[in-house]
Amino acid sequence: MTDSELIKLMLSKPEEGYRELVKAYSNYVYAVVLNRVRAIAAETDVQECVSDVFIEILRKAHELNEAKGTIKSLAGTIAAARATDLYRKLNRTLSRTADENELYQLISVTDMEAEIDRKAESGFIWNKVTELGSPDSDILIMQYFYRMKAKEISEELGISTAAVTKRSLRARNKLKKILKEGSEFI
Amino acid sequence: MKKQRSIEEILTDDIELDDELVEKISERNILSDGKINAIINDGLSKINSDNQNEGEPKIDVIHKRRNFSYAAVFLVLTACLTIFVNIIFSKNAVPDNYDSVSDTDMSTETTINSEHQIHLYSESFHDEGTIDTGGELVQYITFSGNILYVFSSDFSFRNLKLTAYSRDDRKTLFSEDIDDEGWIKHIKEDNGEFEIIYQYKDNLKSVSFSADKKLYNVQQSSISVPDTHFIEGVYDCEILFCTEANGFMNYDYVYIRNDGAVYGYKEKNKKSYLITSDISSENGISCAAADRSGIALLL
Repeated sequence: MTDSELIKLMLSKPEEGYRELVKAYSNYVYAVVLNRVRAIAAETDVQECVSDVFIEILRKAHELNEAKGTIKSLAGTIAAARATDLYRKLNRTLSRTADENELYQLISVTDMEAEIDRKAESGFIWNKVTELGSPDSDILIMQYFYRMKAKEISEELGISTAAVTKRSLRARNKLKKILKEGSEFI
Repeated sequence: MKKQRSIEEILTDDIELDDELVEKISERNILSDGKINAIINDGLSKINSDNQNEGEPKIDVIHKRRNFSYAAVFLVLTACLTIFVNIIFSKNAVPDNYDSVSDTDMSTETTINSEHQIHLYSESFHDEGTIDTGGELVQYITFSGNILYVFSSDFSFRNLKLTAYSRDDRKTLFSEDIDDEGWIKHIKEDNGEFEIIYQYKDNLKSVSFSADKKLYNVQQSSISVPDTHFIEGVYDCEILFCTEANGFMNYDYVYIRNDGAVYGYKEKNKKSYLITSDISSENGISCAAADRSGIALLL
């Protein structure tokens, strides 16, 4: 379904349009939200945030047109913003240390460098994960990005839990091998 | 020497991945049908519940006729909501967070949303007061002396408007229509003379005005928009907004990260300093202006 067809559907048959919208972009929006909040959010928080994103898009349906950009880019922007809101909301409820709130706190350059290294390292490895191919990529993404349990993965892929565990281990070994050959990190 | 991490440690690290990588991950279409249906059902029930909370007149009718199907109820409510939103939008003054619109506001006047409030802070981050911009979409704010200039438009980026507020008492000094539409990309200031560069579709336009409110010289041209300020060592995080510090606490730039923290940056030593992590809002920070005596944040 093209964007203009989807917009038309959202305006003429909102319920059906909403369903199609979620079907088309839920994987993307879910991943954007999860990426931002996975350190602190429960699955129900993520799911609620994702449905809020789609409600917001549905409510903006009459403003949408292809000249203004794709629905996907709008979904990505709204998802990132709502995920940031959720992050802040959850973060505020967690106890903050006095130091974190202190004015004029200096960020050490070493910390910043370590953070940059960590991010580069994660980016490198996750890129390699996506290049592993099915089912290895899928298993690692389900296990580590979506935090799914082996049982859930087995149900999703229609294989036994033992096979999931075995394949996950094999995929990680494959990853280690690839990285040993060309990585500066491992 | 850098501590090496295992594959498992890296994969379980909660660090945010780049957008491109997230898109790549999402393309695997991992979400199960069950989860997608849960999102759909959650959304549908929320829309119905929101409509009921907003006191739509149709709700009473729906409650009395419980033999209506769930889908029919949804369609009626959504149609009502769409009409309601359209009416409000036609007045060019709708807050984009519909949830915050109260019953009274719906029927009478435009709601002032917290997203359109500009908070002024002194150098020591003492709260100096708030300016309500009347629910319009604020696109850009900048200081000149004791005046805060606010550039706003309606939510379709039409009817660009400049409003000047006094920093002392936060009262409106004057308001001027720019009579055009677009998205403001950059504002240059030179001795009280401003040049606003804004984009509409593929065109960049500029409008100049002097601090004594006189607007003149709207022109459409191929203007090169200055690059976003490059700040060394800050490229690993999303910056919501960056502004020149203009003497604020002796920083060169002030920037706001996506976690709501405000940082100052000194070019001399290429270092960032956390000014405060306590300024955050549900809606995020989308605009900032600073000068020697304080800072203004659009929350």
